[in-house]
Amino acid sequence: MTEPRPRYLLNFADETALKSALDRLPSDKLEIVDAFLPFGDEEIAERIGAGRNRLNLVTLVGGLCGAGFIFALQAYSFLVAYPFDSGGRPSLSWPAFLIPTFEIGVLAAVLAAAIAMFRANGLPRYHHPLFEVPRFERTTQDELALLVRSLDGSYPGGRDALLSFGATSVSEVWE
Amino acid sequence: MTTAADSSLHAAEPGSAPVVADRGLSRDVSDVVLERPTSRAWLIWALASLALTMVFAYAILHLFIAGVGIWGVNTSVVWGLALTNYVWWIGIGNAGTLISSMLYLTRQDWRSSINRFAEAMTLFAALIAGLFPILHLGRPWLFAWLVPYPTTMGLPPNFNSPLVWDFFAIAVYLIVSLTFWYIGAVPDFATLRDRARLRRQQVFYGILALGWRGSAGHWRRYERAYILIAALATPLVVSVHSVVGLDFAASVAPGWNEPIYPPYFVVGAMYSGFAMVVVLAAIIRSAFNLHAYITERHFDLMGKMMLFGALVLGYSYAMESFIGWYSAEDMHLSIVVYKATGDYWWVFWSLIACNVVIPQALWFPAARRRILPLVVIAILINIGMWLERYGIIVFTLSHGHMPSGRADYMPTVWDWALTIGSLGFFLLLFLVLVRLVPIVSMHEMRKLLRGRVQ
Repeated sequence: MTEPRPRYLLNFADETALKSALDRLPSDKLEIVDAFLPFGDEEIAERIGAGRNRLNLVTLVGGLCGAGFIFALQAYSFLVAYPFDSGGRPSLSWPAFLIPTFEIGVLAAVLAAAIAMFRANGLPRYHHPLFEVPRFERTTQDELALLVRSLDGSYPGGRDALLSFGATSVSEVWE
Repeated sequence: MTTAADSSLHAAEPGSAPVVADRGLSRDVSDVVLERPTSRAWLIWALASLALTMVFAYAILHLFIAGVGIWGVNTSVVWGLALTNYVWWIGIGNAGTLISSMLYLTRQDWRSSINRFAEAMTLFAALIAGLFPILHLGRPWLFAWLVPYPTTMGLPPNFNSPLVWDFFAIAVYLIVSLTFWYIGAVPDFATLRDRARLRRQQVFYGILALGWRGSAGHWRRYERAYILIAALATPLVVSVHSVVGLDFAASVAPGWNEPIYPPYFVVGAMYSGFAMVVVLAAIIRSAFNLHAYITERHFDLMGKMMLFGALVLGYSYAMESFIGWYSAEDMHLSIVVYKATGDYWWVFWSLIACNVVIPQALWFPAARRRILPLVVIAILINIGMWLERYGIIVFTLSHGHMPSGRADYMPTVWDWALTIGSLGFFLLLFLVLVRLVPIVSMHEMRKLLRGRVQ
């Protein structure tokens, strides 16, 4: 068992303050674990290297699988399960299959995107140590926050030293 | 109308200082569901709509016991108000996802304050619409035969039938709209969870929020998924009403066998849907004092969308009549003349007035920016669009190829009970929703307030 290293949640009033803190935090002493925002911000995500994903590919594959499945089902219906000669027309009347194929393709793609997004985000997850931090609830409303971990032992100076990076508050997070 | 939130909205021009607005926004919007006590007006509306919902339920129950003979339909006019309502409701149900997806993709950021309830409108309207085709089946419990599942009969549904396509289109549309709406609301549920002070509210919104923590990674995947779903939902919106149009266009009945039907149904759907959004936006704005978030500019823009719809529909009506003459086919021409001068001439001329003539007032900015005239026009458009669908069904079915098979149609009290009842049910669902879900998308508004929407 190594000694538990405290994590600190630094709240910021706006994204300018958070970004300037990102510039100034000493990377040899602190590791940035995550950032929490009340709205999406691609730049912050990119800077802390969070949230890279392959959702485009997952969605495409999901959609193609759904479309392929329903097309095959229709072909099976007309060719194998219930072949029906209607005035000598071809059994594989594929133009008419396209509407269910499109609909189910879209459905499968949307569900793939949604499920993959929640899975990659680790949701649903109803309990998390951060929910114990009172100040954390502001990050879904009007404040931004950085979660940082000291690389060895406690951060020298602790809370007060961290406040100097422009944070409005610093909370310790224990797991 | 200068409130604190109003001034913060102006402070949101790109480059100016952000922040301050957020807490006000989260408070304004969350308080509607978390804090505000149930008002007397809400109770009165809820009771009235509950009464109508009872009428709806009773009309359905009576239908199940007595059969479709209680309606005004006959062997010629086999589709009556049930199908009229179906097409009308699914039309209303088109605008919400349109606003959300197409306007999102085209970066029309003004959509942020109306998309949440417009999507909810879509969900409820599509839900109600989906009931009508089932109700109009003589044996509604057999509707499951539309689903491709391995039956003991070994008989798959006929995938070449527009009615099966209908089932796919509506079912997929409902599921996709629900997914889109829910995903859009998850971060807002997290805000409510964190603002809630009552235990039951914390638990309720906590469950809905799925443990959303708003980490930078969450957001990035979330926004990617959201834009993907928006991009997929846009052609889906177009497909839904096209498929409904095919129910008619794939037949050989005069007046229905029109290639223009699928696009013309799509435009009609967006048109009536926007009109419904205008009505609901006006009600929500005044009921919850959201003047800062739903502004005159929104009404102005929606007015322009409606004007566009009126022009395209006017063109479609003209084309329909022109092709009737140009095709030089007797039956085709006969139905064009019958529409304008036959038994239902008043339906035809009323729908022209409501859908094409009166909305021309929207050329004038004064009519778009003042709420009262705009709402009156929007209600007339909804009536006109209902009449249009009524006309599409009744004109053709009461004037078929065989003169001996022609018959009039007169709806009965049960038809009307179902129609009015469905409106009550819609209203009830909506009233419950505005008490439970933030009606403005808070996380999108936060971005908008920072001028950060690219």
